[in-house]
Amino acid sequence: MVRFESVWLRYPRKGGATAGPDVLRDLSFELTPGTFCWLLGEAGAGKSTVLRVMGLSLPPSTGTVTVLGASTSGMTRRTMPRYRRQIGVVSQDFGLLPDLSVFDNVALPLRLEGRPEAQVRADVTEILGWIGLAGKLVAAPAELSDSEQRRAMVARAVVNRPGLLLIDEPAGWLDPEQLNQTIGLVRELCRLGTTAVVATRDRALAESYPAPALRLSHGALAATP
Amino acid sequence: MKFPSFPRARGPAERGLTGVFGGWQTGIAATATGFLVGLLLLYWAGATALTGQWNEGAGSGLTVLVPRATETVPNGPETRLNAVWARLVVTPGVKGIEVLTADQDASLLRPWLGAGAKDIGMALPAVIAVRLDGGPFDAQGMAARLVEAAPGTIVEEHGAWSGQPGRLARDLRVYLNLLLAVLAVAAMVPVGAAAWRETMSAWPRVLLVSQLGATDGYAARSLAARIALFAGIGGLGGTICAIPVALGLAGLGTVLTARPLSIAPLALPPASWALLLLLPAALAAIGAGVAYVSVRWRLGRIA
Ligand SMILES: Nc1ncnc2c1ncn2[C@@H]1O[C@H](COP(=O)(O)OP(=O)(O)O)[C@@H](O)[C@H]1O
Ligand SMILES: [Mg+2]
Repeated sequence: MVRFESVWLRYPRKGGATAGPDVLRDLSFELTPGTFCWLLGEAGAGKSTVLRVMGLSLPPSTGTVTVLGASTSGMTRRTMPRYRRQIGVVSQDFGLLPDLSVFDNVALPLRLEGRPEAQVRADVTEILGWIGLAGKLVAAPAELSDSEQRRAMVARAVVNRPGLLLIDEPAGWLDPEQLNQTIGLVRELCRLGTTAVVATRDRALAESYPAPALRLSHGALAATP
Repeated sequence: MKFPSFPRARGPAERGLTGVFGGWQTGIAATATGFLVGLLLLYWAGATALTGQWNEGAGSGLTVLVPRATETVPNGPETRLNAVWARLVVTPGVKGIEVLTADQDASLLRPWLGAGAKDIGMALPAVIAVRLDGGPFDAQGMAARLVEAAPGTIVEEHGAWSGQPGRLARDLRVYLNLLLAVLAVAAMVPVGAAAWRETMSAWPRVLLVSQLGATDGYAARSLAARIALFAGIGGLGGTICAIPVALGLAGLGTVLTARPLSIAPLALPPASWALLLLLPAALAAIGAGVAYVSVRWRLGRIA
């Protein structure tokens, strides 16, 4: 479950002073568990920013954000990791770790959760096979193509079946067939209870997979789902 | 399309960050620092061992100086030294007595006087190092009895010589200690700075593992442990390299001065070697401390 209530956001400037333009303006909406939702808008509309707020990497300037049943204002640095472990993120902000193999990169969320190593091995191998990277388990991220790297990031985001899945601009880096496969994967997860938000400025993509959509324009909501 | 069915068990854990962080920058800085401070420590330990000879050689407790020690006392056949000795051994509170011969005198003075010390040593008073048992002791009464036995005998309380060489030795020691402390602290700064830079360049990775659910403490500890490992290995390597270089310098000094250098690292007491081993540990601790504190501090500011 995700709920925004009158959320405003300005990026903090260096030194901690809040300044600059309002990037998010008075956002209010609610997504019920298991929702698959598009987040649409032109470049610079604030889509990535919304995903950062949902992903708990950026606190709102004002307003209330509720994610996974908890208000972000009530979260501390101590309790935050527990919520973040239930959020899968695929975005430019979080690439693969260059010194770890593809397998270890994808295993990271499971290991941080404390899953037994046998289970980690089975789950990571399964999801990487499923996503078409079975032959790349021991490869370094640098040895992968852009598209393969993005698919490994998708695998990392879904491997622990997150309660909330956030994907930023999938159309840019996946060919139509991979896109089709990835969105199929996300929908399957939603059927199992995951809430998914996929941000894109590609209207055609959104139209080819009908689903509720949040439309952003200059940081404000144009229409609710 | 069937999605793999993973169970949903969640619990806290501190696993998975092995190999995520590096520590090369700090390791290299620690190698250089280990080498420099290692050299310093070796020099300092050598010099301390030398000045230590003074303080211990001249006795802690009391020092008795007997001028013209080999002359006989006015009313008897015994030497002035023996007369003083005979009274010292029966004095209550005296635990041990050691007489430094003219030869020993000369060896103590050699660093200052060179090879000529031996001739001068003959003219020096006999030095008796008196160790006390620590109980109440009547130094003045004893001094009076000794002067009665051999006029001109001097009793120095406080142990160390108050003469010029003794003061010189103490000053030298204080100066060396201060110099070492200042230089060591200055040399540690680059290691701390390297650890800070390392933390800054690891920052995207810290944010990533934080997003994936690593606790602040675990992320900070992982980076700190890695930096400690590299700094420790680098520091140990640098320190070990300093040993042959110090020995080489001592050897070179011997060649240049045609005389054995008084500061010979191999002759150092075991405690000095232990101190040398503490150096890499200290470098590791500094790197780890800086990394840990800066990660916790920066993450804490994100709110
Ligand atoms: N880290 C940042 N610091 C300051 N301003 C930012 C930052 N990220 C994005 N912005 C600004 O916020 C606005 C929205 O950006 P973004 O959320 O990336 O939009 P979108 O993803 O829809 O293209 C833009 O004007 C952008 O310049
Ligand atoms: Mg964007």
